[in-house]
Amino acid sequence: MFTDDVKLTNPLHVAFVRSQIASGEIVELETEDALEAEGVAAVHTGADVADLGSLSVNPVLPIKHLPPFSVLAQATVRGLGQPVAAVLGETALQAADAAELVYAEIEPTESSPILVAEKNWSNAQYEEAAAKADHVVSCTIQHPRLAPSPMEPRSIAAAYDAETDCVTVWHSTQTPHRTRSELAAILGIEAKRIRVIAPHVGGAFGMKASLYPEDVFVVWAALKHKRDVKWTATRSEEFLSATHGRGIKSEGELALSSDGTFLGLKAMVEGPVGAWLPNSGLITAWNAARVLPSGYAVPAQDITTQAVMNNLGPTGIYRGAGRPEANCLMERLIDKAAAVSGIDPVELRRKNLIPATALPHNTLTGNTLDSGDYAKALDVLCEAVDYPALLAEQTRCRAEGQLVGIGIGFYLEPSGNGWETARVTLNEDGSVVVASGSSSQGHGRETAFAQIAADALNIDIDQISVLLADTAKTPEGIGALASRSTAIGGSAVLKACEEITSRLEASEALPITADVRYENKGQAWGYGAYLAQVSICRSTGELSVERITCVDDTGTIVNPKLVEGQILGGLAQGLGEALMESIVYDEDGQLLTGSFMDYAMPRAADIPTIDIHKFETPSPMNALGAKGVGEAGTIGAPAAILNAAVDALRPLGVTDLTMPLTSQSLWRAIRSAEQGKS
Amino acid sequence: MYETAYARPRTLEEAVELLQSDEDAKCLAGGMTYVPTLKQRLAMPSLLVDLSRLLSRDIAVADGFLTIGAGARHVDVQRSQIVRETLPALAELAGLIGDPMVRNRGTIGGSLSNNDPAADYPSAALALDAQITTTKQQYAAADFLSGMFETLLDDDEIVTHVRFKIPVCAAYSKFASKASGYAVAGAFVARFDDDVRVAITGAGPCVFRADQLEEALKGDFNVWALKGKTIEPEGLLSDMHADAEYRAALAVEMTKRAVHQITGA
Ligand SMILES: Cc1cc2nc3c(=O)[nH]c(=O)nc-3n(C[C@H](O)[C@H](O)[C@H](O)COP(=O)(O)OP(=O)(O)OC[C@H]3O[C@@H](n4cnc5c(N)ncnc54)[C@H](O)[C@@H]3O)c2cc1C
Repeated sequence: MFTDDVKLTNPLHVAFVRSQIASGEIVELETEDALEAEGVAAVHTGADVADLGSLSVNPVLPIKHLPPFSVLAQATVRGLGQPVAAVLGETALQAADAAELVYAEIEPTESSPILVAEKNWSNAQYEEAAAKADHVVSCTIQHPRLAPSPMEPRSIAAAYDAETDCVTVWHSTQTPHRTRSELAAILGIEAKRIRVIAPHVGGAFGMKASLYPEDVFVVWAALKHKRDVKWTATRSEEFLSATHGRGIKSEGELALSSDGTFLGLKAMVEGPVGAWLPNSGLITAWNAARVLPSGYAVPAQDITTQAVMNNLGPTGIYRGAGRPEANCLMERLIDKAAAVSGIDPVELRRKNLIPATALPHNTLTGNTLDSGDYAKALDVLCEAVDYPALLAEQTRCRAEGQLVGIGIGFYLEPSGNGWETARVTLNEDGSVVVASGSSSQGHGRETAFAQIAADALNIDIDQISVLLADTAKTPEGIGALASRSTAIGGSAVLKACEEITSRLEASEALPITADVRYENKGQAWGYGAYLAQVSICRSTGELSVERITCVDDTGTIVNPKLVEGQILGGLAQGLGEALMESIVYDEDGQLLTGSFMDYAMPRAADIPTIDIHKFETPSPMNALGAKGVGEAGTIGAPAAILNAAVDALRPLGVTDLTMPLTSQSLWRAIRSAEQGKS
Repeated sequence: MYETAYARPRTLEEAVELLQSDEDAKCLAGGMTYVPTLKQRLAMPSLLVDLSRLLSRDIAVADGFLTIGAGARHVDVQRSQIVRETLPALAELAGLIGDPMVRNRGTIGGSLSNNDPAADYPSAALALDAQITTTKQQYAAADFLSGMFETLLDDDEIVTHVRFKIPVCAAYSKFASKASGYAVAGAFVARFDDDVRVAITGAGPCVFRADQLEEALKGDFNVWALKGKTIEPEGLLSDMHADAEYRAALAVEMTKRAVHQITGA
């Protein structure tokens, strides 16, 4: 059952009236006609919700200016698609019809970007390093803005209970416990009046990690009107007003000596944020900087990141959330360094990767790279593809005039930090209930948690049932995001089972319940190396990815099938970014990619042959030894594909390309290169 | 969508009467274009006249012509033994439209009546000098397909049949949009005993014939004959997916691919 399937009692349906102007002042807001329309129970505007509180924002970067969180726009509109009014109708159709009768006159205002947060990490030696370097390469990467587009759009349903004056909220979310605590804080009511259930969630990818103004409105309206209320976004609303990912611009400079030793890295990251910040609104800009310089040893560093507010759609974490951006910058710089120094790209990487013996390693940006053997990922990769043979084949194809490229992307994937809970009960009949504070959106978390418990308790997996995502039935927890759930949530399950085992041994009578709040020792850093082979058609610019080979060290693997699923899915999304996906606005700030007719999503047929290889170095940071893998594909694939595309066009003199690598942009690059030559 | 009335007449006459009785009535065939339009609230008809069960789906060959009922779904054309034998390029074209769900409902009549600049069928209709029969009269495809999303149809006029001239050989090559699957540029090349016709869809505001390419191919029906030949970008479509220059280049390339499919060299 998905949220929209929840049967409510005679619910009111919400239709939002959204601003068609990105920045402006509301001069008139006429709601009378809508209010008189058939089946309309109420029409609300900013004034009705002016007193509500704000969503909390994870301050991973020092905040200079916090954009206001408005459930409905107050006097000012700051983002395209921001809700300015909401209509409550007896049917969804009546609400939608009446919403068209709301007249909103919004006077456009000029707006300039506002610096929301900023941070610099520097050991102040970069300029010196650059001065004595034999080569300095630079590049700028503008990542396309992406629409996460889970199959199920945002959806929320609130059931009001008159007897207790409480609400039960079904919410398509990654973080049901957070929905509850944030709702309580924003609405100014006690959390115990709210129960949150996340039923089946049809994908999320970070886009459903935080509450939206629309969600708050639905629950507020249920309490205000003492009725059930529901809202499910349309796909158009998702393109317009659900958080977008990427959109980051990163610029970097890498200094190296003639033998290929990296001397210094300077990087400037600029991450766009929208009119309001979701909980994780600063994570992307933070990750895009602090994951630098990836797994490489670089003595001098000067890294700056900024989150800058503009008036386009809101942005948030999207599978990868800054990790692809950081890794992509580094991997592009290295390929450029390989080209100018004449050193083989694999060799250059191997030479500069932090050796296994130097781990754990503390980075300038405040991370501890915990464990692994980074160079081994390259070794396994080269062996898997027979790298020398691949290069020979490329030389042969090039001699025939074909545009063929090989690209490598090494990546690091930090997974989440902190705590998660588990409550495991061993019943008298031998059955076990595992309740976790984490949740699932089709990851197969239930399977993984049941496996962990079955192994730890040495019982049959069929004896175990897993409870997730209901604040009334599971212990308070964080949720499914930041590739953290197996590593931390799974460790909590393991610890709870271990506790049960020792209490059993101490002859405690059944049933036994162990409540565990497990906190990891720090982030577990997954890593890997991807290789993409591409060919580009000279006359149309079509790029075909012939093959992608992946090597991932995801730490201890609980379930290989689930890990593989994560890699494949992430890879498809990474390929989407590399080749086709992009949210586009026109000069007036209007959204041009408002549907799948214009926003290109990869389809099954776009996915190339994929070869997956793995090895396991357990992480010392959590009880299971697991590392994150949910984002691996979105990080490794774009860097490898982008490098391969540039490599394919290198004989023509092309040194830079911008994602998405659409056929038109490649055709143009080929043409200008050929015209430039003749 | 907005609330609307729905009727399912049993005969064409009844359908026409319904269309005449209400100026905001609109006919509906497979609904693969019109239903999404309704769902996005881009149209507000008072009455939907459903033709899907009354239009002919027959496919027949006679006297060098292939006649297809307007109600034939894309999948019908794609799978028809008759089409595969007499005009395989048309079956292939139908198989390139959208996805299986679209092909299972969308109709040839609907596609031609809609005349989307990026649709596939208009290229075949123009290249194969099709006759389009309606409840009122017959049109040559070149006249009927009059502009961007425009045809010569009156509001109360229904397409009933399409008749294609069978060529000696033909091929269709399409460069599909990564987003929509529609043609960014598509070329239908048809070779007749005494003529070569090349119709380009996707690139311009309406399907058109590429005269220069046709001339070159009449002289020598071979890919080499197209070397250095171009299509003028002026007047072609430019949007975020592809600008006019690129579409012009793609149109030529698709023509080459179609010719190559026919000659196999
Ligand atoms: C996801 C998707 C992908 C698609 N991809 C492609 C593609 O790659 N190539 C392509 O060519 N098309 C594509 N289409 C469009 C598809 O081919 C439609 O089926 C076709 O364009 C319209 O046919 P229909 O029978 O569905 O018409 P409807 O949607 O029912 O009607 C379309 C219009 O034509 C009118 N009409 C319908 N039948 C008649 C008739 N007999 N007489 C007079 N007027 C009539 C209607 O009033 C309406 O205005 C796609 C559609 C979708 C949804």
